Amino acid sequence: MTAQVFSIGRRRGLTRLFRSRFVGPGAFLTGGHVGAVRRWTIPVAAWTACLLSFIVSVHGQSTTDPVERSMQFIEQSMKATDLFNEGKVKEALAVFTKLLETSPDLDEDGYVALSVGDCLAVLDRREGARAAYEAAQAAHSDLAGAVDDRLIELELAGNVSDSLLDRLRFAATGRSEKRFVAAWQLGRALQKRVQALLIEAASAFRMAAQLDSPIPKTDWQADHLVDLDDLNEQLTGVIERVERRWAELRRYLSGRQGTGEQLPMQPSSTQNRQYECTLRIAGGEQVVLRGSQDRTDGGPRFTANGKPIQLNEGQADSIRRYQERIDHILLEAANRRSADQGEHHE
Amino acid sequence: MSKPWGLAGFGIIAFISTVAALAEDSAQSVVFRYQSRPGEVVRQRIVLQTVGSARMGPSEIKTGQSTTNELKSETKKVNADGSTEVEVTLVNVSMSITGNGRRMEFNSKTFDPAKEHDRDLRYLGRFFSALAGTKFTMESSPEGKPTKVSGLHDIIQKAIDEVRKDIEKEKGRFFVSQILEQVASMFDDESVGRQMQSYYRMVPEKPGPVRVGETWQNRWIMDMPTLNAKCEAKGEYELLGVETFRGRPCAKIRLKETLRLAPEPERTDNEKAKKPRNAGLLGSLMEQMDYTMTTSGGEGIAYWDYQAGVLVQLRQTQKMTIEARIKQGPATVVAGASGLGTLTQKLNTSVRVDLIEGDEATTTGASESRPGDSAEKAP
Repeated sequence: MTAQVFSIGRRRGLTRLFRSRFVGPGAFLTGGHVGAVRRWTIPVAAWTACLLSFIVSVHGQSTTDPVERSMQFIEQSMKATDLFNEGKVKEALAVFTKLLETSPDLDEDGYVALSVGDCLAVLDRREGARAAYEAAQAAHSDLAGAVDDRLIELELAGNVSDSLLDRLRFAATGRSEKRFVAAWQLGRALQKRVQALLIEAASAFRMAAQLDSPIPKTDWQADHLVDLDDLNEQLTGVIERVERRWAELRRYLSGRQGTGEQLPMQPSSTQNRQYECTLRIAGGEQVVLRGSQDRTDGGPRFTANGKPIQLNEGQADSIRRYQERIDHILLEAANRRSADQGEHHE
Repeated sequence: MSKPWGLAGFGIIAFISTVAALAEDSAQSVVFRYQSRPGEVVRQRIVLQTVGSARMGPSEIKTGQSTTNELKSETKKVNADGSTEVEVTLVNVSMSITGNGRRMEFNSKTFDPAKEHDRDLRYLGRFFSALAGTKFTMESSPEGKPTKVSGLHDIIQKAIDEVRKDIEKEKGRFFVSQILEQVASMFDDESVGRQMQSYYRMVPEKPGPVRVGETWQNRWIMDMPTLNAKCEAKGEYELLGVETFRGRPCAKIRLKETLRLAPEPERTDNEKAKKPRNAGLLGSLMEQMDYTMTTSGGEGIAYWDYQAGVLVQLRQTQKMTIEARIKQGPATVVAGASGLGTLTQKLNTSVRVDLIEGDEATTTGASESRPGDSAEKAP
């Protein structure tokens, strides 16, 4: 397309050149008679045709040699890929975009088209990335799967829609060969949806608290809001942990090493935590549970009737969260008690 | 003659001469000869570039790989029937790989293990350094086509063994050994022989003159060392013209080569254990995969010195999509790999071979040049 426009431009330029350099003097030589100008027309046209065919053929060899074009396309794709892998994403985007503009016909597998979207996604230009992915799919129907995965990730980074949840439910529970991935994505999407609903619920209760109430206001509303905020805080932690796990999984699948990052598991500000209780369970059996804090890593260690209890990651995490919550309640109560006593003394 | 008619005359002459040149060109024919003499030296630079992506499950990486090899071929013996024995020296190897946010570069001319801080790169660097200067023997038919390559296997094995000892001694990472084994499979006698043959396939097999515009075909089977399969290849060639290129009388040949995957028949576990198709852990993993491959492109242009029987320049590109799925069945399921979907690799490759002559042969290292940098572009 570019070459064609260029050729036309050259032709127009040459026509202007002939008008000024040859038609003018020709008219002068022949005394400016129209007939003389007509006599010029045929030889000049013939010469122009010869010259143009030469120019176009030379021009064509340098820019339309399909093998050379293809070689240059690969060379530039390599350059952009190198830049992307080196983290120079803006520079990579510029090269990929130019390639897509100048040689869309050579991007048969859509690698460049998808890469434009990938660069935009890394640069957190989500709308641009979405448009680029959709354009890639429109041009390369076989990219549907690759584009779909990318669009899901874009959507998971923002607000989760009902249609996304429906699609993921279908993929995760169906016989898709990607059900493992779909199940992860569904879980992540639902967690985000739950968080959005929690925030909305808290907002609704706050609104209710500000409105005229037909029934007497009680303290439970304030406590409930605290509970919702607390749940939201816990959920934020859960979502962050899962997103880190997902990133680790992607790194693992692509052969990259993990970051070595330890997920936050243990409280750092508690010492000498002790726990002991005796439980009577069905059948009259007695279980003595004891807990203590490991001196080296600070993690919890529990025994049942003297035998060590092996906690999995989720169980350890739950206990840590509940202990933190108990600490928080006790500290809050202790502070209130102190404050109450202070008021009483006054 | 007045000026207008002079111009008209010029135009007509130009037109006639163009038509005449075209007519003359189409009447041209060429006889492909191979006249190697003992002591004759040919140097060639081969640049392979591959760019694309590998996708599995939710993860995709972009990869780029550029390999530049410089070869020196010296004819040692010409037999009575015209067949030859050529000593080929791997003068220089340079490689650049990017992927996964990582870049690895290596050049056998400049590699210094003391300066390479990355342990994995140091191992790979040692291996490639050992390759530089490697000599092997290539036997060619009276028509100049490589028939056998020998002498590489032992050299490669020795280089690998030495590096592997270092890896074990320094408690290096296991996967580097695996990568080395895969890389080594690219440099064994058979693989290099195939590669050398690929640069001669465009020469027509029929004796006698070939006319401009004439076409011919070639079919061959080749192993895909990294896949569990053989490839059926078909080449279609056309003599586009006869012209002087880089001062040599050359046949300009258009290439169109296509590849089709032809999976080998299933083998029993006993057969697999006896002789694995691919080495190491990666090899055994590949045994458990089903592959499909589609290719497109394969077009190229070659300039062949039809008097000396030497490839002066080859430029060719190929697109390839490889899809791999874990085989279904209780005995072949790879732990943790189900439910992730298909491993899809999309690759865009180019190869460029250039004859190195004159000053360049003595002053230019392969590492200093990049494809497209050549002073003389194809006309």
